Amino acid sequence: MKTVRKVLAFIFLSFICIISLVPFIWVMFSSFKTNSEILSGTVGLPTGFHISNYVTAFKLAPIGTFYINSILVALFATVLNLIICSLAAYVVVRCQFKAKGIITLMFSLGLIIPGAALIQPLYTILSGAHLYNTLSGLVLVYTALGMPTTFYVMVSYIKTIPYSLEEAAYIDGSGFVRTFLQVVLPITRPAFATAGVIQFLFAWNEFQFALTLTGETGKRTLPIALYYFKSAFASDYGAMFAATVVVAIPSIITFIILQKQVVAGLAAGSVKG
Amino acid sequence: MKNRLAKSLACIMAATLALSLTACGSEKTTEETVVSTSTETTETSTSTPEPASDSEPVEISYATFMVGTHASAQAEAEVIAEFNKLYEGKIKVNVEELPSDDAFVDKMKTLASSKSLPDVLIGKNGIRELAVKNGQAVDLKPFLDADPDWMTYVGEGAMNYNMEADGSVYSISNQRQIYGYFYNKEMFDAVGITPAKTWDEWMENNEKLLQGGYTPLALMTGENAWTTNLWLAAYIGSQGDEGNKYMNTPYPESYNTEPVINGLTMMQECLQKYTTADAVGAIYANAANAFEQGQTAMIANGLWMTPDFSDTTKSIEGFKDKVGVALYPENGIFSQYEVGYILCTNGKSEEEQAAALEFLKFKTGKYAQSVFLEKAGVLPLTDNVDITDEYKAENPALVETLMLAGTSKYAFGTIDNNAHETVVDEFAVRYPELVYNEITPEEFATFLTEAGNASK
Amino acid sequence: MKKNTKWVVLFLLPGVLLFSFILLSSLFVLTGSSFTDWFIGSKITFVGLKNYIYLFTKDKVFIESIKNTLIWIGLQSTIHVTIGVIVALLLSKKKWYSSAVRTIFFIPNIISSAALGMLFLCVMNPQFGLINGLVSRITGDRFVQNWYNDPKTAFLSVTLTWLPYAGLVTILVMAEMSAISEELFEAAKIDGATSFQIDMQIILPLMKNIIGTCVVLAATSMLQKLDVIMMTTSGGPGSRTMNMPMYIYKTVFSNNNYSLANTQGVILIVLGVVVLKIIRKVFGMDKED
Repeated sequence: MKTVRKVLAFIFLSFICIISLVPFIWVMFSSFKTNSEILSGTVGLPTGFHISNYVTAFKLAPIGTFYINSILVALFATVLNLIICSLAAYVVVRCQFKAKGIITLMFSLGLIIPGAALIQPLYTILSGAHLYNTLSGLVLVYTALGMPTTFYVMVSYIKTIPYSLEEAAYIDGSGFVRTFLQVVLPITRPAFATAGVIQFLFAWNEFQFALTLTGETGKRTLPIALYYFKSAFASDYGAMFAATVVVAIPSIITFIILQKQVVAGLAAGSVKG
Repeated sequence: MKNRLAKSLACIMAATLALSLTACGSEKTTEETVVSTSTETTETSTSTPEPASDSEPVEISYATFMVGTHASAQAEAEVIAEFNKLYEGKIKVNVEELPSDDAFVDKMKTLASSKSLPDVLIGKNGIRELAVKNGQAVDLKPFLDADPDWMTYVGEGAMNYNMEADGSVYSISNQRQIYGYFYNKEMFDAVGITPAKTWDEWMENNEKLLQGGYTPLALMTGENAWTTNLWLAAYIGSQGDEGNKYMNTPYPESYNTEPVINGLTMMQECLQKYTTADAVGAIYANAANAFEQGQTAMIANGLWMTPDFSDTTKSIEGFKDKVGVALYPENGIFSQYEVGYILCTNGKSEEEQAAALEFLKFKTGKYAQSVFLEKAGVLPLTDNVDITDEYKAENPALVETLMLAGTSKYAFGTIDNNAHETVVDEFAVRYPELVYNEITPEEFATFLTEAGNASK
Repeated sequence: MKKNTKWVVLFLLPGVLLFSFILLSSLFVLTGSSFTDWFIGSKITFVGLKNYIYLFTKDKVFIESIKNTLIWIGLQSTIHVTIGVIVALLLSKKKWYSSAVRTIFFIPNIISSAALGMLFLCVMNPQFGLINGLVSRITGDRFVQNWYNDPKTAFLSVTLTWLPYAGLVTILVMAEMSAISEELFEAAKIDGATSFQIDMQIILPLMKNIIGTCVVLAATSMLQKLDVIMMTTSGGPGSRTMNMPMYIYKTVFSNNNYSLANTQGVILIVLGVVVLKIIRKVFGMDKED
């Protein structure tokens, strides 16, 4: 029985790995192929590692400028989002107040407002606030749109922390803010890491709002670069996949760094049970 | 706690409803706020304030999708750079780059909804109509009348093409388009056929090619079903005077006409028998690749495709010499003008209006037309822009097409130019159903008519 | 539970402000315009419930889009979450490969959708795609299946572009698992519990909160799903893969009809709130503990 389960688990995990790796490897290989090789479905290794797609990618799209903007936008949108949501999630879990239902609903709404319906109103709002075509405008929009996910992750995690730790801190004379900063924050590290990864990826990959809410090349972010290779009658998919690799690398690094934190709870001394 | 969520939802909805109803009641105010925000936007987006002294250049805004891998990207950059050089210190063009045609159209529609379109832009896919509706577009007829030199290079043909019923002209075309289809001479020779003169012969040719072991057509029904709909349009446009008139009418009321239904029936057979296995749902790149890799015998497409034939990352070696151009059966040819540039400066400062007009003239004038011809193979609007002999020698397909155009009987426009976007979308989702026999050509036509009616 | 009004207000303030600035006014526009006729560039006129009546009585595609959206919500909140949870449970055993598998499983979430769409089109291509190629090689016959455009397979094929990729669920659950104390496992092992029993009887009940959260996120993601559909089928054949976000997008950008799109938006929000309410109830998320 145990062996059967082990074999099943092995098959299942292998399958998961294969379907997850195929896209990645496919994109990697394609970034070295010519347009016609990609469109003819040539399987396997490209014919010699042409880096010409990478050269084209950097030549045709302002990737450098977009890179800097993307880093700024994604970082600020993530940090701001984590701060705002952890504060809100903490009081929603730990404090008693009347408006709790409405606050929860408020943070949930962002999950269910359709993006296409938001484009026009957001454009009007940001223009009115002189935030059109600014990086700060994008940061605010991404922070707000990412709030629900982070909020839910934070609430769920904080709920698992036994209240006794905070109680002990209060007995020792620690204030509300100090307890939050010194007792709660350190043990919510895994939640910060996971929510941070999700929020970072969202801000890093978002296309539609980035395009609508900025107006000049100097203010734009990386996902827009991918569309420089998709023109009605002249697409260069080799260059597009090269750009995709260039865009994905920081995300993968961010994930690898942060995922250590995801399971850090174990080492830091567990609290649940 | 349990019902709090529901209660608060009810509260929010009620409040929203109340507030929005009042907002609707005072419709005028909303309009005004939109206008005021849009003027603020133009100020912020041009970053520097309006010129206080004469030394400051006037800034104008321009949006373009001709960037990145777009065939005209190089020509576009050159023309804009030349303009900025020529008007240095006087006018500065701020360019918004919008990579990919879809992204361009989506963003321009969003801007049109808050009356903040840039000063100059291409008004394709219904953007021109929106700009006229929202009051931003300027009637260019008076300016054309006042500037005979400019008019020489725009030409009567292009002007009349874009003229409204009331005689106003809201856009200056950016190119003339004349094209038949491309075929693979080797394959045609191998099965002993020549470009068909009638549609029956064309279908026979398809069968012969298939029997000879070749795939006849490079079709695709994804995106805007471009290469498929060109054949369809050519069929409809060559069905006597009625069909021809139909394919030269913008926004037809109904698609339930005999030529359309017969055309759809023909395309159903072609998609089922005479094309690649991936044609249904394929994107343009798939169809182009199938032809350029020598896998299919014909593709309906414009002359902008010819540079690909000598590009070895796209076509097989020596492909350029294997390609021939032909008229559609019944001597049909696509001949039309593009919508082109619109001027959206109504309500903006006088300096900006004048500067933007200057840019529009430059963009559609002799210099720009010849750069676009040389660098991007875009046909000039009139014969007043010379096509040099060198250029002709290098582009035999163009020469051949122009020659064929002289012998054509039917000239028509494309479905993309003549139909609402909703209709073009409908084609893409209905073709698979047609091919898998889920709907009949008649039902297909009804869906198209309904989609057209949903557009305003 | 503490009562600490000053701090409650201060902690909530940034979130509430940002929500009001970015989302609340959009919500007003959305709800308000759903009772009007509003085409891009045209005057806005009040028409009462006309848009709602039209959508529910005349618009077959809209009804189908609701149906598809609901099916996808159902699949995503069950199968998708289950896959993610199973992977998390298997990886929690801390084998040598755990961290590598976790990273690999997450990678599909990293690649941007512009590339993913193109990738799926190529891999599933009927003529030269990887899948048909594999089947042909195994059976020895040329296998041609137009996955995204054959009305029989379109829905399933589109579903499979997201259903198995549950890397997000896995890392969310694993983060929360890390909060379980080692002693609990030790105690269970001493009592003679197998690892399967530990998973089922100790870990899963403790994961109720985060699984609820995962279900919320997975279900609501189906209310936003757009780009992959747009790039593979555009909602076709017919309206077989049309969902609400895709239809809203079409209504705005092809029909230029803001009022009708916003009406659909309001209906989507109401639907979303109902779905949220049900999930929160099932997982007891509104209960105080």
